Amino acid sequence: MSTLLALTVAGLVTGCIYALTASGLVLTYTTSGIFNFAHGAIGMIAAFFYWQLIEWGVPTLPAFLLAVLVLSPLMGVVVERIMIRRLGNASLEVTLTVTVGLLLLLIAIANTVWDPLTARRVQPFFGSHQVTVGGVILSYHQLVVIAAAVVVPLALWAFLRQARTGVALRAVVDDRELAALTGASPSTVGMIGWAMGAALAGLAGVLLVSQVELNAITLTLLVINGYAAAVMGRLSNLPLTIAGGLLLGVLQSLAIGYVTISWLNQVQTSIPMVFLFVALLIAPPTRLRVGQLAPLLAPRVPSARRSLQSALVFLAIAALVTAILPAGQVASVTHGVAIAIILLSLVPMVGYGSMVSLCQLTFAGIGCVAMAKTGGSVLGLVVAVLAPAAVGLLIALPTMRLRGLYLSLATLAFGYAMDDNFFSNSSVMTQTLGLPVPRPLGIDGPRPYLLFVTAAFTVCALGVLALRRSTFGRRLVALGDSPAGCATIGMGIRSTKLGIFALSAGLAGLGGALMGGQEGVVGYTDFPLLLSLTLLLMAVVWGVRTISGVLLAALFFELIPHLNGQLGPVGNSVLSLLVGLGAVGLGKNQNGIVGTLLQKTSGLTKLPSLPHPRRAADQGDQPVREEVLTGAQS
Amino acid sequence: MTAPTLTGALELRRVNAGYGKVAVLHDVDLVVPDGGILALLGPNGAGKSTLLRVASGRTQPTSGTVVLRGQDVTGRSPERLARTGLCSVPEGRAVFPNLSVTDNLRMWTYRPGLSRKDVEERAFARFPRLKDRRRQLAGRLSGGEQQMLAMSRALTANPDVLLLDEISMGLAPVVAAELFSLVRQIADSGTPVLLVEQFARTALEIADTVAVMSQGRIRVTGSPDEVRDRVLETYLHADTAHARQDPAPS
Ligand SMILES: Nc1ncnc2c1ncn2[C@@H]1O[C@H](COP(=O)(O)OP(=O)(O)O)[C@@H](O)[C@H]1O
Ligand SMILES: [Mg+2]
Repeated sequence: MSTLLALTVAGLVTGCIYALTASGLVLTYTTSGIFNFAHGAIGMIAAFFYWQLIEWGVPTLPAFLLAVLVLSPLMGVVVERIMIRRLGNASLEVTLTVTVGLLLLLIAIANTVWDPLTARRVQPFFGSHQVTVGGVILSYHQLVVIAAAVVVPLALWAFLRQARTGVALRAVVDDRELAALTGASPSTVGMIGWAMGAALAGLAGVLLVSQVELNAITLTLLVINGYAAAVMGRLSNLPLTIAGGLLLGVLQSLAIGYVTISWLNQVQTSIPMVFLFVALLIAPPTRLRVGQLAPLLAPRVPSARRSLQSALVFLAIAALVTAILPAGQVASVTHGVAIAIILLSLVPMVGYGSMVSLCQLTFAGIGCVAMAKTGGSVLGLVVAVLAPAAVGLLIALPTMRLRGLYLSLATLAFGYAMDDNFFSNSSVMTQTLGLPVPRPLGIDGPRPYLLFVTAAFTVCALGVLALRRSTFGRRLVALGDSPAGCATIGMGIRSTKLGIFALSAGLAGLGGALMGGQEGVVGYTDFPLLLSLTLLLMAVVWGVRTISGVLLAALFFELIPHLNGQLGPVGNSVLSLLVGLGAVGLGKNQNGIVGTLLQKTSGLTKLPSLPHPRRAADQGDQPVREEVLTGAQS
Repeated sequence: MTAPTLTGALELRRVNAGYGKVAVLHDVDLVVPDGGILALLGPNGAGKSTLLRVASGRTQPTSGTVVLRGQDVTGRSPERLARTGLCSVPEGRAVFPNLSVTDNLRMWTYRPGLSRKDVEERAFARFPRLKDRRRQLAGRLSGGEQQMLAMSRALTANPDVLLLDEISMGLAPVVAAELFSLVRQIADSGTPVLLVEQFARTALEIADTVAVMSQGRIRVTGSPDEVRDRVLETYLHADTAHARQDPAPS
């Protein structure tokens, strides 16, 4: 009984931290309409900064205040100014990728400044002082956490109700343009929203840092708990969000204490996923969005003839390149083409269906493991496609009633849980050495295999383009246009979306299997969640709506380790700079690099732009989507 | 600074504006006199709201200048214009639907020099119904009450110029009449008003000057009587002709 009590109290304390970080998330989301995936990373930087100050001999209180009330809000302001402000009415994949890019950038910065191989510890506030309350031992640190979780939300509530700026924050959400007409500056108000959200992220990070290990990735991803809590509050309701955080903390603590499932390595990382999915299931459905016009630049879809011609030319060049490629390069190019297949899976999903998966590499991994377990026959390849497709279906199913962002959240939580429980599981990977993966269809020799993978890419690309030209493809585009319109004419929205999501997951699985075949052996570090995020960023930066965009993204991605090797220790910072620039550039140029080039050569179809007040965040997807003009090619 | 030869509280000089590549306003010249009501009339889609968007800083003109009290304010943000004294009540219900009446009134205090108490006192004195409903969300008020709340901003702001876009739209005639009498009262207290209306009759009755717009151009300017006699027939004619060849977007 006392164990139960102790676990509950410990869970409540952790829950307090989740509640704090989740409130910050909700605050920025409701005031700017942008879901900040880098929220946890901001907290992480604050935590490292706090550690650094303590290390330099700064006393606890000033260090705490500097980290939470100076550095964190500053980060929020800078991010809002540089990245968020120009997003205006960007599509879901762009707003999402920009903050994902920020997340990667902040991790890279932390790893550059603070060597990840050094162990760091932070003492809790007041050291080991503790009190006993009703039979439960509470450290002073825990008391501080509880006090913060009581005082901060109340202060936030009072601010939003009573202060004029607080009223303005809510007013801007309601009607941005009218807020400006009253004289309140929406951009200043947006900045305040981000500063406050970031301060809450920082507070959570600093409170958490003495409880967990000081590791950039762990701290960043702990925020997934915050997302789960925020989803409980439907990303807009603060009291519900706080309740969600507390509940999640308790559940996690109890699960760690009582649940022993031998095949689950890390019970605590699966809890947020389970929690998130339950929250998704009980969330009320989102109202369908009526179609909207927005500035549009949609790549033109090449005709069947054009695509076939390009494919043949591409294959001819590929064959030539394969023949003359130095032996040492074949493996890396093959790997790159396999990655291109994984990225290709984003084209129908993001480009045509306006859904964004944050765990495409996880699907690839599932495909790879599935083929490894069934052998490299044709059957193996089929299973490599079907297994991730089925899993994708299950993940997407509960989110279909909701707006697109929720699907992305679900994929992130899924990828996170898979990292810790599936790919690192000894019964999946068989041995510590990794899982041997056969080459499909017994194709041997590096060059023939490269040709095979290239041919697979080409066929898949033709398939994706054919899909776009088909009735199904037109359905997809109509869907992005106006879900409500589609519903009124009786189109099955959910089945269309589910179909496309499953197909994408399957395609990623195929890419993963072919990549595994190239590697020969895969280990649990081959399909990490963060790499999914990097890949998504690359794809969107290069242009996720075009085949050439994803191909370039894959090749660029393959170049990174080489660049890194060439540049030595500077490589990492140069790389993070590139990531950051990519993310910032996206805000400006939302069709990616290929999109921009196409625009210059007028391969894009443009519609007049309309001003759009950013409306209450819960009206639909990102309020605006492009109006894809298929008329241009028919 | 422009030379002090000004005649109007607000002037648009050779303004061209539009949305993306769609040009809507063509070389619009308009002077809002320093006092009284200027009614801007015109058929649906004539560009009246666009003109107000330009004047209030929500849409930037592609060429031309906007002059407020002799000062070139082209390119100024809407919030800065609002604080300097330009009060613009846009089309539709110009209130924050998810904020309570009190919170809406709180937003009106962004006009410098207004305290929360000032705003509430003046608004409630003129519209006692708002006082009874002050805790309600503005979105739950009736259409007339919402428009009263919106007009309470114009009433309390004591602006240099007041821009009103179809405030009577969708309201019962009695309510509309009440709002128009308020507009007259505001104008009589010395505030220049630019009143945009689609239906001419009531506007012609309370206006001191009238401008008629169609297809993005100012067609006629004059006293209400002149406009009534000379132009109304043609304008109504143009209205239907225009509607036939260029149906209004929905
Ligand atoms: N946001 C917009 N984007 C593109 N065109 C617009 C937009 N708003 C209005 N228009 C066009 O501008 C023209 C003038 O509209 P508007 O100024 O609203 O006219 P009015 O207020 O006189 O009815 C219309 O043809 C309309 O289609
Ligand atoms: Mg109008």
